[in-house]
Parts: sequence; structure tokens; C-alpha cells
Amino acid sequence: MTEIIAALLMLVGTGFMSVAAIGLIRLPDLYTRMHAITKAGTLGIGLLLVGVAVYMGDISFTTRAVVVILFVLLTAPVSAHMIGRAGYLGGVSMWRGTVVDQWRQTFEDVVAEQGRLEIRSSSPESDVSVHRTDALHAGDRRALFSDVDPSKPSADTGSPDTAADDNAPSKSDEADSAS
Amino acid sequence: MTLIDLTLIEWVVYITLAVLSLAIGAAFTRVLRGPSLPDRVVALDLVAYLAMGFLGAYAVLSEQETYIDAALVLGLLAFLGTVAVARYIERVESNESQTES
Repeated sequence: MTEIIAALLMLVGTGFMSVAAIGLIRLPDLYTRMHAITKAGTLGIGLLLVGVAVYMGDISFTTRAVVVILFVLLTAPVSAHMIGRAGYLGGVSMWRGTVVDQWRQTFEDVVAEQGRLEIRSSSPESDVSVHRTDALHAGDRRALFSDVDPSKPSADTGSPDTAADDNAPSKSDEADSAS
Repeated sequence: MTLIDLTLIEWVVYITLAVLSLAIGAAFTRVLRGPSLPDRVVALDLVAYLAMGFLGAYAVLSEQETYIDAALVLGLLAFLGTVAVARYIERVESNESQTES
């Protein structure tokens, strides 16, 4: 009976891990692939090791198997989060069928806020922030993040000012061409 | 030893080892083909998980408990490697954006 339960658990775990591998091949972009291997891979290795522990029936082996499962449960979301964040900030494009990108929405709000502040200080025109928001693309995401991130040390205090100075003439050019 | 002599759990372990081997091969095709560096890192992460499952299944076959320790160390190394590469990618990209702007 124990053998049958262990066999079933191992087969189901193997099935989930093969689903993770199929998802890694078939899914269209980095973020969906990450989702596939994080969830299906974690569940698969958990079920597989539970099955092995049920078959071995040994207290020391079971303890180590539980430690491995807890370790995977703790580290898989962390590593997936970090690699997804690095990919997003590195400008890895999403699948074209993606319908919502909440982080980009946050970035656009921040950009609009920054544009309003700079306009209030530099030029009286009020609709320039529209151009700045439209100009947001993958390259701008990184530059924006390096300016906005409050957790970075203030060793590069000069960089936001220089970035603002670099952006200011192009914005006024856009405004002139539009008006 | 013919195939008939295998017990149920040995059958299951051999099936598991075969499927996990195929899955490792599939993950390596993504490592070779992946368009960006994070894709390859994610694929290597899955390869590490599959190897951990492989070690766990092989522990049943060989009746050696020590393989699960190897699986634990492999998971630790995979996590540390993924975190290190993620930090590296992020730092390189932010440096590029600073030089661009």
C-alpha cells in the first residue's frame, strides 16, 4: 500500500515537472515561462520528494526531504521575482498578447509627475507631459528607474540633474514642433 | 534482469528518470535558444530543479539516503547562482542606462 501511494505521488510529481519543461519550451515570453517553472516546478519537485520520502519511510530521510521541499518553496519565488525584475528593467519585451502591465502604469504616473514638476520649474507650457508620457518605452524604463529608485545610495547625486538637463531641450523641441 | 522482474516502485523510478532526462534535454534547448539572458537563467533554474528530482528518484533506486543531501546542496547552489546573475544583470543594465543618458 505504501508502495502504491509512493508510486502515485512520484508519477504525479514527474508529470508536473514535465509540464514545467513543456511550458518552458512552448510559452511565448520570459514572464510566462518564469510562471510555468516556478509553480509547476515547485509543485512537481515537492510531490516527487514526498513520494520518495513515503517510500523510504525513514525519519532521517523524511526530515531531509522536508527540508529540501521547504527550501525550494522559500527560494523559488524569490529567485523568480529577482530574475523577472532584472528582465523587466533590462527591457525584455512582453508577449504582444499581454493585456495589463501594472508596473508600466506606475512608471507612467511617475513620469507624468516628474514632467509636471520640470515644466513648472522650466517652461509655462502645460501639455508637454503628454509627449513625455508617450515617449516612454523600454529604454526609458531603465533610465527612469535609476533616477527614481530611492533605495540607491546618493553617490550619483549629479545624475538626476544631468538627466533632467538632457531631457529638457528635446521636450521643448517636441513642444515647438507640435505647436 | 528482465523487465518483468522489476517491482512497481522500480518501474516508477525508471519512468521518472526517463521523463526527467527528457525534460532536462528540453530545458537545455531553451538555454541554447533563449533570446535573452534572463531566459537562459530561468531555464538553468529549471534544470537544477529537474536534477534535484532526478537525485531524489535515484535515491530510491540505489537505496542510498545520501543523494538527498546532494539535492539540497544543488538547490542551494542554484538559488545563489540565480540571485547572483539577477543582480549582475540589473547592475549592468543600470550602468548602461546611466552612460546612455
